[in-house]
Amino acid sequence: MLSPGNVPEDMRDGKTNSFRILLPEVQKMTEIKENPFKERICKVFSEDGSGDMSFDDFLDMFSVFSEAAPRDIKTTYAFKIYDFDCDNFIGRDDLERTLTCLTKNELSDDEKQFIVDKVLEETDLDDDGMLSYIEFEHVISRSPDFLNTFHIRI
Amino acid sequence: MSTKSQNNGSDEMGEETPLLLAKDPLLRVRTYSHSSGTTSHHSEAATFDFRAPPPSHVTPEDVLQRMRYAFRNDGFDAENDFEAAQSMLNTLERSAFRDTVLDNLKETPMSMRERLGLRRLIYSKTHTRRRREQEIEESTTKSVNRNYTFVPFNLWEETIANLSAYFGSNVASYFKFLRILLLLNIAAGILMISFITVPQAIDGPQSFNSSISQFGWLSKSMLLFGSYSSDKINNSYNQPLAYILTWMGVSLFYLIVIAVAMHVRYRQSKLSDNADDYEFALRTFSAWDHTIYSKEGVKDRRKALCMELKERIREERKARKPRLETRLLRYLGRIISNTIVLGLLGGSGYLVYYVADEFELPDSTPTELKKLFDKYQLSAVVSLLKLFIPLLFEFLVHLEGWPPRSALKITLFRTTLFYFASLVVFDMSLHNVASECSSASCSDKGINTTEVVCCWENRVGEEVLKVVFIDLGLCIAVGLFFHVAKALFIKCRICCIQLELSEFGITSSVLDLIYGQGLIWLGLYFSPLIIVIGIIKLFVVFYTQLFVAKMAMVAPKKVFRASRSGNFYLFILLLTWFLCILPTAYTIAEVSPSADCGPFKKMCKAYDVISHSIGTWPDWLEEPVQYIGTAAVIIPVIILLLLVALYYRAKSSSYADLIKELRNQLKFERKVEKRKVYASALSTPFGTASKATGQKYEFDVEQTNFPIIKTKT
Repeated sequence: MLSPGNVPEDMRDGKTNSFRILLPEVQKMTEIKENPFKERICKVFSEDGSGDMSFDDFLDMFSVFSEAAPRDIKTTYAFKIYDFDCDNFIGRDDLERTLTCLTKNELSDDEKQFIVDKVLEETDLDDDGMLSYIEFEHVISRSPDFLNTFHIRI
Repeated sequence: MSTKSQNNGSDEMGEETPLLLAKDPLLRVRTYSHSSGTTSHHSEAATFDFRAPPPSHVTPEDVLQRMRYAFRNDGFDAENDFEAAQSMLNTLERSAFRDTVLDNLKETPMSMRERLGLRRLIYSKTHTRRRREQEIEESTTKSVNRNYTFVPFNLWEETIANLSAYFGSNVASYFKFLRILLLLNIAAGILMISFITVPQAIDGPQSFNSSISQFGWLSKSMLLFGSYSSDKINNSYNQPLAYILTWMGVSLFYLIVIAVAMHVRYRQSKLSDNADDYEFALRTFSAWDHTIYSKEGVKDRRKALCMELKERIREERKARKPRLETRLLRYLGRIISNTIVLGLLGGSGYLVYYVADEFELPDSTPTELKKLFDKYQLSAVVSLLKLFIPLLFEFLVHLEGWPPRSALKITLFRTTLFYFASLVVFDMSLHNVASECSSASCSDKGINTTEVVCCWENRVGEEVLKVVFIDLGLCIAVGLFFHVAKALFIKCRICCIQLELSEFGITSSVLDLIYGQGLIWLGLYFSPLIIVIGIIKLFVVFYTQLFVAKMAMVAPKKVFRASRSGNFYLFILLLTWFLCILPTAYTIAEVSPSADCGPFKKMCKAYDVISHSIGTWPDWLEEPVQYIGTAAVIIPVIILLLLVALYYRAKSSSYADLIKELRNQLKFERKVEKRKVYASALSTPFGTASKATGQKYEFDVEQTNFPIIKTKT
């Protein structure tokens, strides 16, 4: 599916980890080709954060997105996906970038700012202007269909 | 002096505001590690920082805690830390610790490689290899079992997945609901057929005379009640008893499955009833449906999401209270429309009743038409009403100007009410059909009064079957001739009026399914094979809906669904069960079965078969049981139950109020107090406090989700 010619046939001796498929290749996958968060997803799951994926990373990715994955793990990785700058907090900047991913250019900056303000007002329990993991988990556990939608089928 | 004040500061944080501060160790640690600005292991160990104490000081709790938060990727070396922690324990504790780690490993957000490494490490340390072998064995048998038992549950999996690539998981949930109903019916159908139909088929269907038969030969086939024998088959199989017991068993089976499903779902859904508080947050974080991967699907979804966000922003920015006149006007409009709704409900109920009971075409109409009309009047009216009334309701709600979510709920409520009303009226008119025949009193049995040969159970069964057929026909017709035709018009640009493709209405479709299931339950006693027809119908509905959805529908515009609707549908299904099974149960217990056909023709009441074959209640129970059955007991019991229900309802609503109040209080505290607390917290770095007082802090992982800091002297 993804350049099968390049993949070595023998995956023993740590090849599962050392051989990688490059980010642009991975993004061509049908299941995530149109996903607005595709780049983030690849980067979160690739071990060095570059977006290049080894076989192990691939397994990781689809085990998290599978139906059977527990809620905690899904929440954790959702948090990582939204945490664009990888500082373990979802700040204003991250929120804006999330919204840009979601809506492309259909919302004006003004509207985005309004939403960011609202999101922080609703969720930021300690008023530090960003969401920690615990705050994020608190919100996402209220979502009626997070478990159904955070799910990629292969 | 300064030590003391710092001490106070930390106490305040630890005890007085545990909820706001102590629940988030990550946040706190981040603050302090920033302020100290250290990264190397040793200097961090000097100040308090649970992230990276030197390996020799890692406690088992630390390891577990850090496994939980392993995604932070901050120098947590699982294998080293695990070994270090293990070295502090004695043998017994060690194996317990290992087990805990293994149990938690699956839910730990570490990468596959790290998890495998840790697992290998643990297993290489365990000298008893038995456990490992055992586990491997277990897991293989488990996976094998899983593959086998879940095959029927994966029916149409591929199709549904393809569909959700465009429509998203909400629409997929409709098809999954259909699949569940189908499987349920197949299971029940197997029971019915193997205990009722197969024994009868061995003997051949019982022949009987029936003056009124509308289905021709079908009426005398085993599809309907009449052809089941009232005697023992081959002198050994007690058919009447089997008939009634199987019916009871199957009905109970449905009830149990629904109840269990509700329970499971209820436990799965965490307290999500206050999703209203997080409107924007949830729209940002959980609005994206990762199951969608087709290009158009993504585009439509994005568009819908943007529309909704914009709408919400507009609503939020608008001044809350409209002017008095507009409000008055709106209230007036709502009163009027509610009256109309009630009128529609009552009117349609009366119409069904009237058509079933009294209505006759004028004599001048041609006899052919009259015959046809006689045959189908009741079912046609029921189905037509079902088709148009919900549309009217949706139209009315548009006029009333509710906010979108309440509009959804109100339509749902009204439509459900309508379905129930029509089921009840249908019940009643069936009862009328029945009483035409069963007027012959019980004492006449045995004397063959051949003047009126009739079999009212068959007639009831036929009526229900007709409604089922017409329902199916309408579903196909509406799909093909309305939605698909509309789509064709739009695609060929024939029509000059601006038309839009229809949305996939999940709510109405699910209610349709529930209604269909209700019909099956209603007819189950009178026509055992109605289940088979129901199964075929579900198959047909599935493919029709699939085809129509793919050809002619767009994904629903409302991205956000009313929360916990899944459980709500199950609840309606449960109510429908009561509405459909209870009248039948009443029939069995009270109405005398027709004397000319069916398994109970020799009985006074169908229920007698149980008391005859199994035996009556023992003497000492007889009187109390009879007494319990009288109105004198039943009515007070019902009232009592209602009161209890009301009491709990009131209690829960008072809890809801309390929760609201507490939340408001929390918000207030946050606004006013927090800054102050934060300021003092920031001025007394935790690390220095702990160093100065020599206290040791540890995280309590067991008790709560949020580690609370305890001080230990």
